[in-house]
Amino acid sequence: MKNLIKASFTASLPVLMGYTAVGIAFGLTAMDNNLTPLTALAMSGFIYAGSMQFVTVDIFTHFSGYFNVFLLTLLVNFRHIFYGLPLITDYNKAGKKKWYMIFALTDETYAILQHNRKHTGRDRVMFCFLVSLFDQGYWILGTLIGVLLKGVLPFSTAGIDFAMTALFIVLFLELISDNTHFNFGMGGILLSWICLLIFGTQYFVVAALILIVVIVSVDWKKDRQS
Amino acid sequence: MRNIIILIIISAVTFGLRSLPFLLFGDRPLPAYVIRLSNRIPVLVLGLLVVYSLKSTELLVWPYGLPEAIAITVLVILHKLRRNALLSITVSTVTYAILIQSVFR
Repeated sequence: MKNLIKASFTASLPVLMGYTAVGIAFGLTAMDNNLTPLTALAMSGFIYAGSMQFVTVDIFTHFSGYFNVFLLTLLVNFRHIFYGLPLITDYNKAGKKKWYMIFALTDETYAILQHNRKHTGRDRVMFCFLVSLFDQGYWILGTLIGVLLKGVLPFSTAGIDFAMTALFIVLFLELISDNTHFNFGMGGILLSWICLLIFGTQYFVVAALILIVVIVSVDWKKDRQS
Repeated sequence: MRNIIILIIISAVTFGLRSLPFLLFGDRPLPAYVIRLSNRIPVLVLGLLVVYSLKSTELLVWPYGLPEAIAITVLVILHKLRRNALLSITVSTVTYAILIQSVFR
């Protein structure tokens, strides 16, 4: 157990950096928009989705109907549908912890769990659970610091949200270690960028995700025929 | 009150999206196609997330995405050399923060 705690903490260290930094940025943004500290913390506790929480701050200040809130959430978080797929077998062994682990399946937690696969059986389940728990801890900690720091920070925090970009790039670099994954990875960047140019920041994620599924499906069909 | 309803809708939809694969496949063995999806999609989605996190970078107006380009170059080179995720993230983030606060302000 002690080894597992150590292993999951070490694996989650990049997220510690990224989440505290972006959590602080989120806390500051929430306070700048006159949200209460409690609302900001409740968002990190119950929504727990980075980019969506920034959008939520915007929704609070520019409300345009509940149905729009529903659609916007679908749009921003649509990609999360895919994160459970490689983890189904592991999570089904998790008992009561399963539903918390599903709730806590963010971009970063997913990426960390996908990258660190050396544990098996019950150790794997515990590892996934601990990483999920640590990650949300960092996120709430960052939010708390951001809320408290409002107005007392001696230096500007502009730019620290780059930690999130850096985290994604590092995880990306780790995944493209072989030729097949390198080609797919570069393809992913290229098609996402083209979608961004065509569909704009609001809709490109959904378009890119559909294309990703099409590409993987076509590739699978081709492999099965040969 | 309105904010509480908004919070509930967003939390519920987010949780719903995250739990969908578990509700669809439950205890049944995964179809071969779904296994292939789950093998290939991660690297493609991470490519998408990289682009997503850079989506507000303006390439056509000053500073033409230069701070991002420099910080990413530092990140990639450092990561190739040392393979230390934490180090790569810290150094590139500090580089970026310094760049946009002083050099490219």
